[in-house]
Formats: sequence, C-alpha cells, structure tokens
Amino acid sequence: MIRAAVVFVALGAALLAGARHLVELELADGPRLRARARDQERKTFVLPAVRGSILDARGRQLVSTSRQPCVFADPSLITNFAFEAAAIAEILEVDPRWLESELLRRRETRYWVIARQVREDQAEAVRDLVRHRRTRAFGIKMENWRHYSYGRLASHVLGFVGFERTGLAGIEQRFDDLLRGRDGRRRSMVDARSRRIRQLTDETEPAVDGASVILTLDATIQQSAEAHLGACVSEFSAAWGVAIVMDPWSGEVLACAVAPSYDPLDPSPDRMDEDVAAQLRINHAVASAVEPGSIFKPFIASAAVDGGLITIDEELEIDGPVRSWRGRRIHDFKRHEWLPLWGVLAQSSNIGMGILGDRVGNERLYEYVRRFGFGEPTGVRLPGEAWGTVRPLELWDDYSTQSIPIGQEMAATPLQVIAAFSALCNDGILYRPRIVRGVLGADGETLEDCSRPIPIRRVLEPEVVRAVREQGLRAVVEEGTGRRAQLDGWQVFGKTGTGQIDDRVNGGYLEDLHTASFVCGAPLENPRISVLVSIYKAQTEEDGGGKLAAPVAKLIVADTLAYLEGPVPPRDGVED
Amino acid sequence: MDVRPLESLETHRGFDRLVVLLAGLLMVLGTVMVYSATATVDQRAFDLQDILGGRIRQAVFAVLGFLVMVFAAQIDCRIWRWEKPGDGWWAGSLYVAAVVLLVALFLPGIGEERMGATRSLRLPGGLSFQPGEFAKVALVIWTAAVLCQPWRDMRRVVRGYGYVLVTGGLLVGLVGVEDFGTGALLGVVLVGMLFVSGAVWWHLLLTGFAGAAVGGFLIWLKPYRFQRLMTWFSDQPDVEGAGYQILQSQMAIASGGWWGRGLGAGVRKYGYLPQDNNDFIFAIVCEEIGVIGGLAVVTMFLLLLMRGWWIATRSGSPFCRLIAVGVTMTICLQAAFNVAVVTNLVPTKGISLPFVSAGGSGVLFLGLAAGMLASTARTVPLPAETADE
Repeated sequence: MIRAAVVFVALGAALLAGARHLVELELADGPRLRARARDQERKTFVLPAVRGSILDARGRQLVSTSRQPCVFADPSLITNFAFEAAAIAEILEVDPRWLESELLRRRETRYWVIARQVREDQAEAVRDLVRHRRTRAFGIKMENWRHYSYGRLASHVLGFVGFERTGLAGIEQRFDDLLRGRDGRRRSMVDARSRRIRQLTDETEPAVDGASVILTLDATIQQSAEAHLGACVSEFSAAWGVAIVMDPWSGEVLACAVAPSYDPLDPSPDRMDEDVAAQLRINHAVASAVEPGSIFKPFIASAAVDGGLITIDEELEIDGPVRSWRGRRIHDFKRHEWLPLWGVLAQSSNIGMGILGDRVGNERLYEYVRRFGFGEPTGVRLPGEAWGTVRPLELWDDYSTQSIPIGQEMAATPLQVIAAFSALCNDGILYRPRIVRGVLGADGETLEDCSRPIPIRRVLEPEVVRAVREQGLRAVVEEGTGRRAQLDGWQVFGKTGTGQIDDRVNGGYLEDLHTASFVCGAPLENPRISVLVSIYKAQTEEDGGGKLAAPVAKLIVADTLAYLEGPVPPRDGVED
Repeated sequence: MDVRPLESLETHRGFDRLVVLLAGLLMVLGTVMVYSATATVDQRAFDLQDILGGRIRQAVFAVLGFLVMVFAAQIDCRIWRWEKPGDGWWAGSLYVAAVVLLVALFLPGIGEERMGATRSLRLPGGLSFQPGEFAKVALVIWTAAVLCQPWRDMRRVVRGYGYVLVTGGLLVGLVGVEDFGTGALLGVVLVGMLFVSGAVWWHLLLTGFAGAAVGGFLIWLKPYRFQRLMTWFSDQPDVEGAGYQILQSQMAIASGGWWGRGLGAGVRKYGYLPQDNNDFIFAIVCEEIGVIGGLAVVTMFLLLLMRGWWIATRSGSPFCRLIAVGVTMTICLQAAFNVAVVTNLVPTKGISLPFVSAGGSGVLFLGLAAGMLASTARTVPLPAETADE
C-alpha cells in the first residue's frame, strides 16, 4: 500500500508539475511569445487596383486594363530540366530546347517569368500540369495589362504606361492619379510558407479601382484623320504631320492625329535609337510650335475689319509681285495690281497683308495676336503643351509690322491655330480647346464633368466673322490657293499656309523645307467642324499648303461630315 | 482451452464507468484536435474527398478504440492470470507476440522508417502498426501475471526478481532501441510494478544503475538523441535546428493565451509547429482552447490517476491491483511526460499524448489498456460487502 502510494503520488506530482509549468510559461513568457507568433502569422498582401479605362466621346473603350495570366518558374525546384521544359514548352508553344537552356541558366534563381499574357487555355493547362505533377516549380500569376483596343490609334493623345504601370505620356500621364486608383490591402493569416490561410478571416481594405477618362475624341473621326494624314506623311516622307478636327462651337477636339504614330505597347522599340523613338512620341499638336505662315493672315485681316480699320471689300493697291518696305522686299507668287481684302486672303497676297500691317500698326497687331490666344498655352489637358512664341511688344520693330501679318516672327502650336480659327467658324468666340469630357469613378459616379464649352472671350463681332468667312475664306477654296479642298456637296472655307522653317544651323530660313498647312471649316452656312492639317518638312518640291495639306483636309472633312451629318443628297439632275 | 470456473469470475460490480468516460472524452478531444491540426491552407470549407482521404481516420480509430475499450471492460481481466502452471497461455502468447513483432521491426522490408527511426510495421492498405504500443499492454499484463505467480519469491534473484526483470527488460530493450522515449517509459512502468510488488531495495538500486547504463548506450546509438539533450541544456536554444520545435511549441501555447483562439482557429498548425497532430498535439490543444483547456486535459489524467488509485487500493484481486497500477502508470506517466516535453520541462522525446495524439495503434491499445483498468474495478467489493474482506 505504501509503495503503491509512493508510485501514485509521484505520478500525480509529475502531472501537476507539467500543469504548473504550463501556467508559468503563460505567465512568464506568454505575452512575448504571443507577440512573436502574431508577427510570424500576419502578412499584408497588396490588392492591386485596376487602372481605369480611357473612352472616346461615344463610349468606345480606347484603353482598358485586363487581367492576363503570366507563367513563371522557380528554376531552383526543377529536377529534370529536359522533361519539365518539354511539357511547359508544348503548352506555351515555344522551343523546348530554348526553354530548357533558359531554365538551366537560371537554375540558382527562384523566380523567372517564362511568358506573359498567355491564353486562358494555356494557363489552365499549366495549372493542370502543376496539380498533376505536384510540382511548385511552375505557377500562374494574374497580372493587370493595359490594352489598347485600336492599336496605335491616337497614341500621342492616349500616351502609354511604364513598367510600374505609371502613365508616362499623354492622358495616361496627365490623369495618372485618377486612372491609377488606390491599391487595397489584405492582412491575412499565413502559414509557415507565407501562404494565406483561407479558413481564417482577413482584414481587407479593398482596392479602389481607377477612374475612367472620357475624351472628346471620336474614334471614327480619329481613324479617318490618321489614315489620310498618315498616307500623306509617308508618301512625302515628311518629318511629321498633324491633323486636328474640332467642334468650333464648343472647342471639343474630335480628332487629334499625329503622324507617324508609335505603338503604345512598345514605345521604345529595341531596334530603334532612343532619340528617334523619343522624337516619334512627341505630340506635335501641342508640343511643337512652328511659324504658322499664311494661315495666320485671316486672324489679322478679320481683327482689322472688326476694329473698323478696313472693310472686307476695300481695294488695296498691291502693285506686285514685289514691294519693298524700308529695304525689305516682300514677294507675292502672282502679280496683282489691285485686290480687295477678301482677294488678299484668296490669293494669299503678302504685299496686301504688308499694307494692312502698316495701317494697323504694331501695337494693334500685338493686341490682335494676343486676342486670338497666341503666346499662351491653350490649357488643353495634355502634358507638354508649348506656349508658342509671341515676342513682347517692346522687342518688335519695323520688320514686325510686315512679318506678323503673314505669320512670321512668331510661332504657334497646331492646337493654338485651330482654336483661333474656330472663332472664325463659330460667331467669333474663342473657346478653350478641350480633349477631356469627364472623369467617371470606378462605380460610375461623376468625378469631373468638363463637357461644357469654356468660352474665353469674344474676339470678333458675328457680322465680321460672317463677312470674312463668306467672302475671304470661301474665295480661298473657290478661286484661290485652296482650290484642292473643294468638295462636292459641302462648301468648304479655309486658308492655306506655307510656313518657313528656321535654319537652326546657318540662321535664316531653310531653302526647301516648309510647313504645309491648311486650316478650314465646313459647311460654310453653319460650320460644323474646323480642321487643321500641317505637314512638316515634306520631301517634295510641291510642298505648299494648298498642294499638300488641302487635299488631306478635304478628305478628312468629307469623312467627318458624312459621319456626323449623313451622306450628301445627290444634286438634282446630276447623274454620275 | 481452460475456461475458468464461474465463481472465480464472480464480480462484485460492473466495469468502472468513470474510467471509460474519461478515456472516451479524451478520445473525442483527440478526434477533434487531430481533425483541426491536419487542416491545410488551401482546403475548402467542407471537402468530402479530403475528409475521407485522411482527416477522418482518427475518428475511425477513436471509435474502434472506444469499442475495444468497452469490450475489454466487459471481460474480466483475470483471464490473463498465470497462477497455476499451464494457465499461462494468454499471457505467454501475448508476450511472445510482442517480442516477435518488435523483432520484426529490424527485418528489412517489413519495418517502416520514418524520420530516422523504425517504429512501425507496414500493413496492407496503407496502414501501419506500431509494436511499441502493443508492447505497452503486453508488458503490463505479462509483468502482472508473472509477479502474481505463487512460486515467485521477490526476495530471490533467479526465480523471483531477476526473472521478471529480464523478461520484462527484454521488451523494454527491444522497444528502446528505436524508440527511446517509449522504452524509458516502459522501463519505469516495469520498475514501478516491481517496486509495488515488494522488490528488495538493493535490487531496485542495482536495476537503476543498469537502466542508466542501458539508457546511455541507447542515447549513444542514435546521435540525434544526444543533440536533443544538448539543446535542452543550452541556454540559447538553436532556433533553426532541434530547438525550433520546442520554441514553436511554446509559441503555440502562448498564442492561445488563457482561453485559446477557439477550436479550429489555431494558426501554428499551418506549418509552424512540426508533429502538430501527434507528439505536439497538446500545444495545439493549448493554442485552440487555451491554457485553461490544457489544464482541463491534465485534470482528466489526474482524475484517471485517482480512479486507478481507488481501484488499486480496493481491489480484492492482487493481479487486478497490479494491472491497475501498471495501466494507470502507463497512461499517466506518458501523459505527464508528453506535457513536460511540450512545455519544455524535459528534453524533447517522441512521446504521444494518450488517447489524443493521432495514430491508430496508440488509441487502440491504450483503449484496450483503459478497458482492462475499467474491468479491474469489478473486483472492488461493493460497500455492503467491504466488511467481508
């Protein structure tokens, strides 16, 4: 009995010792060990926000983000390289020997992406393989990828994103904050290998997906503009060309084409020199200010009419083709004796504009130039907008009096020109050009509504506008330098221009390279669109605005009006 | 076979329901905890495939173990007695079977090696069998049977003490080669039973020295044992290697706090704590139902111990007293040792928590042992009859 008691008491003491130690452990080390355990168990995962879309004015998705499977490998876990590579290569349709050697080369590494953006069936096949072979050497990860539905369309406006999914150009850059959204976070309990334990609850702060930007662009008009502009630029090997279509009554940019285009998915192609690629990515519509040349004449002429210094019908004594001002010789292409002001525009007479310059004087010229918005950015919401060049009045001299009226001694971006010209297409109001209509949040709520026109100022009285348009600018197309823009069914009005280009090396102007421009509106009675086409440094003798740019503008006008207004009714009695 | 006369099997009362209840509760806890501890990160909430494929196994074994326990409790355990020459069929064949099974471990192709130790025999159907668990029951029965033989004189060496020590020691040694912890446990049980049956002090002392020598030899046999011992003695445990497990065990206990994270809500079982469903299940118990839950488990073993004491001191049969002592020792010593290992009171040894840890052999043979303990209670006279004895 005593011996049995000893045994049982000893056993009881052993059990109690364990229990006591358990309590001591909790009392002494509990909080410290608990904190340490909590540290190990929790991990924060980032829930990436989906970048917002960019839509055109009609809601077409120009840019969107989609989740695409990506196949990665952990080469350090591969045992039989030839065998594994063959299986994966067959699914991914790549060369098994290539894959094997690439994997072997990285046998010390833990992570290598084999292929991105694979098809869903390929991803599923890889998942099956992984499950079947119980391997962790391969896996599928979902990645967000930017998708440009129309390829290169409007690439200069849309821009592109970098590797870190950051907008680096265009709308992608300007609206990056809104498009990007906010990444969410999930604090999960994880196992010893940092894998999330699904059974246990997470603390989740959901991602806020990016907002969508709605542009004023219309993909159809944009396509037409890019097609016609691109054909001309490549045919004449021009450095670049810009075509802008605007709604003159609102300032909305309906199309903004820059040629040559680039691929937003590959903005710096390997085979291309980075300087060349960077040149290619410049949005010349807003970033390049050039001397406008003769397309500038209507602004000075109409402002002079508006100021009562001249009427549209007043005859000026040209006595060309050359006239000299204080030793400076101004040339016309053709010889004219007398021209009314509308004729000066129609024939693009430099001498006529020179005479007008004398009558207006520098101070008023400067005021006209600024009134049309030149010399300051338009405020369109695109990155990298140039101000253009309008020198301060103090620096103007006698030379300026004849230079400014013919669009020299200053520089303007294509967007500034089309914005100013739109005032001649509506009833004389300068509107701020807009390319963004609004921003919608991820849930469809309106974050920004910029669909309203923003009038800056009235630059001309309506009757002046009508007079300049119906006499001067119509004559340009009907009988003047812009005859190649004539269109069946629609009365086009406009102005040609052949701008000189600074010779950066030798000073003065380049001999044989010009900026061929045509700015126009249509239809005459109630203009629906204004269009600017500028072709920079075309490699051809025939590089005048009327020869090069007007035909392109005509095609764009025809397409756009057909699209907006419907087909032109055939004229009575005429059969083709 | 000789069927015992009815009057010798005459009982004063039925089997002990408290023992069955306590062991049954522990089995239920084991089923739940093993189910919880075998959870994996990528499983779905309810996956029939997953459950039938393994996680439900412990429940099946627990049910079988419970049935074995109830069955054993129904049978008078005195059938194992060897009090007359020629009586020894049951106990003798049990002993021989245990020796044969333990020897079979060393035969190539039959033994199954896991983590450097061969402790189980491969069975068809993906099952395995641990002779060590069987040896626990066999040792208790054999020792009790031999000690109760009237011709044994415990004061004599060859015919008495030595015979029991050597025959029992053979089992202990065979177990100890591959499973030091269980071997040591069985050695203590053997010595304990010898001690209770009146062994001479200096015999026991000598046995103690011999046991220490054998133990030292067995530690020398497997280097990892020495390493674990060193880990335990070290002030700054090696967190990467052998000390990792014990640190993780303590973190699991601590992360449950007093009241635990809730059943199934533990995290340390997801790859942090090795051996989380068998040797270290007590840590998971503490994590999920708290230190309070752990204390409750210890309390259940204490109750079992007290019930064993109650039977051992009141039973009218010397054989049953020894069985009660042996079984209670086996279960409670194992439990005490396991709790001590998990809380880092003693060096890490592969000892499972009775009835709770995963493993079929363990729950079946401990169920058998608990059934025998419950059965011995029938030899405890009812209060009215106590006066007669």
